Amino acid sequence: MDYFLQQSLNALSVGGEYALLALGLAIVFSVIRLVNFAHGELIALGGYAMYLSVLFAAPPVYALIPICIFVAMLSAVCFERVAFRPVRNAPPTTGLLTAFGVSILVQNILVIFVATRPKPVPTPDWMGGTMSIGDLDVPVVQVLETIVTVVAITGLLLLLRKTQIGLAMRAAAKDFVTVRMMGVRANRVIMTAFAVSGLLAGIAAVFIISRRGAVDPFMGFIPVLKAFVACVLGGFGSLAGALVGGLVLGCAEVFLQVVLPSQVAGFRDAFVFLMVGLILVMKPEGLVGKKVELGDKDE
Amino acid sequence: MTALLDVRSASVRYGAIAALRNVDLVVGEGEIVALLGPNGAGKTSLVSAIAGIVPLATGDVHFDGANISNLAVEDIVRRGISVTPEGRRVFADLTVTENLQLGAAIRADRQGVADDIERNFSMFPILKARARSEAKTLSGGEQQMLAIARSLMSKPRLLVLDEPSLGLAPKIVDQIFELMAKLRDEGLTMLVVEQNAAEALSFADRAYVLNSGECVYSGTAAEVANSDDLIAHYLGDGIATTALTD
Ligand SMILES: Nc1ncnc2c1ncn2[C@@H]1O[C@H](COP(=O)(O)OP(=O)(O)OP(=O)(O)O)[C@@H](O)[C@H]1O
Ligand SMILES: [Mg+2]
Repeated sequence: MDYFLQQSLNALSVGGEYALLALGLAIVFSVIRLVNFAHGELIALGGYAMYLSVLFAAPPVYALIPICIFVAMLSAVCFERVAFRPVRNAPPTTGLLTAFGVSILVQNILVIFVATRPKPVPTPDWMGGTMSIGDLDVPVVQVLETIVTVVAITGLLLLLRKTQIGLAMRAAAKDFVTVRMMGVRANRVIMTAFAVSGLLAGIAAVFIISRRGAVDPFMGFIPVLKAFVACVLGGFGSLAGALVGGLVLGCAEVFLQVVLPSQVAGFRDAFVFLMVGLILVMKPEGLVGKKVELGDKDE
Repeated sequence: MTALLDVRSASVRYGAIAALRNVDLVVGEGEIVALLGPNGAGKTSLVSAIAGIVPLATGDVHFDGANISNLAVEDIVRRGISVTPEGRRVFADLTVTENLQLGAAIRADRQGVADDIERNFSMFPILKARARSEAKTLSGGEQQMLAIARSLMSKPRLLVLDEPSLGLAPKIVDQIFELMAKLRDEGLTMLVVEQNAAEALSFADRAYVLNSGECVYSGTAAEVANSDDLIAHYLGDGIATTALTD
């Protein structure tokens, strides 16, 4: 029973991390139909901001967390301003190629100016510890990640439901032209979408880095891949889909980790993707069906 | 009368298609102008050009004395032109109230916006009853009311309505026209695109008739209504349909 609870928490924290990343992809996609494959580089840039801060300024370790989140957010806004805005009205493939371009550029800048090898990054000691809930000993990072995910998603919902810019983002997901006809500035809506995606990526980055203890230029690849799979699994473009897809993917990974015999445990991801494939064969529109949620693309 | 909206020699092209050719159109302060013509005449293209949604190939649009031809879509409404687009285009996933809030996006006076939402609710009781419903659950007529109410939220000086009666039952069409008459009596300037020529002519001051992208006639509403030629050639359907449904 304890083991079950421990693994459930583990699943929630991994699922929450994927959900944060998937939501970032989905919110940008819902507004401008761009699959931002440079999303993973936000994680790397947040991580390198931590590394460089330690190298040059040596701030207290806890201060690295806001630095990481802030830099990820700022990078997302810069990507939009510098790379995506000029191709905003180009065909979708141009946007996709631009995203790959940004991704490769950032990776190579990190390789050239920092190093290809992983660099250590500290996170606060207490994040690495365990705590007891009742008679369970659980890793602090998992508890924290679950809580932070819930808080972040609540904040996102409040933004989308209670603010003018949030209303505009939800409406723009289906009909951007009419939103602009209301006098809402397209640039503001799009920049907010990127800022939110960067914020969520920055939060996820803190947890990713606290687990790995190091950064490397290519560290964003696997997370963005997982986020993409989560989005497809849930139903692309739907925010609810991204959330559900992220949670299901995380739970599936942890579940398979637990049940797979050790000889095949190395192929866990293959099993996960096989499962995702099967789900999509049965339900091609994703787990969260079409018209169900805000941000759903197809009408 | 001073021209509030002044469209000069406007042309719109979609690739090789010339949807609108050198059209002039004036709407005076306080006037109701009807824009008539059969399907594909270029009415929506003209509205889209005014709204900044499609670029002008030739000509320009002046509003209140300023050239607004090159303004971005979001700046047009800030100048005081509110467009209720063809097909209503309410924000389907947003509630009625949220639609109205977004209609007031250019306004900073929160209290004023809240008051105007209430005023809209008293003008459109049906919307009040559905305030918290998603717009997609409204009927076509209710959605049209919502679209007009949303347009009014920006406090426009000119309201442009693109086929507000399209696809609605005769009873609802009457309601929409009653509503427009009310807005006229309040002094709102309006440019109304209609295929429902008879009804539109009965309440407009002047009318323009488009056909195949060109303006084939303009004059007072009475002149157009009394011109058998025009009606037979371009507006026959509209008049006939209303005659039948009356
Ligand atoms: N986005 C577009 N791309 C290509 N052609 C278009 C586009 N929009 C309109 N057209 C063409 O331009 C012409 C004028 O269309 P427009 O929509 O302005 O007519 P309309 O008078 O509003 O017609 P309706 O009464 O059917 O709404 C038509 O021939 C139409 O097919
Ligand atoms: Mg039209």
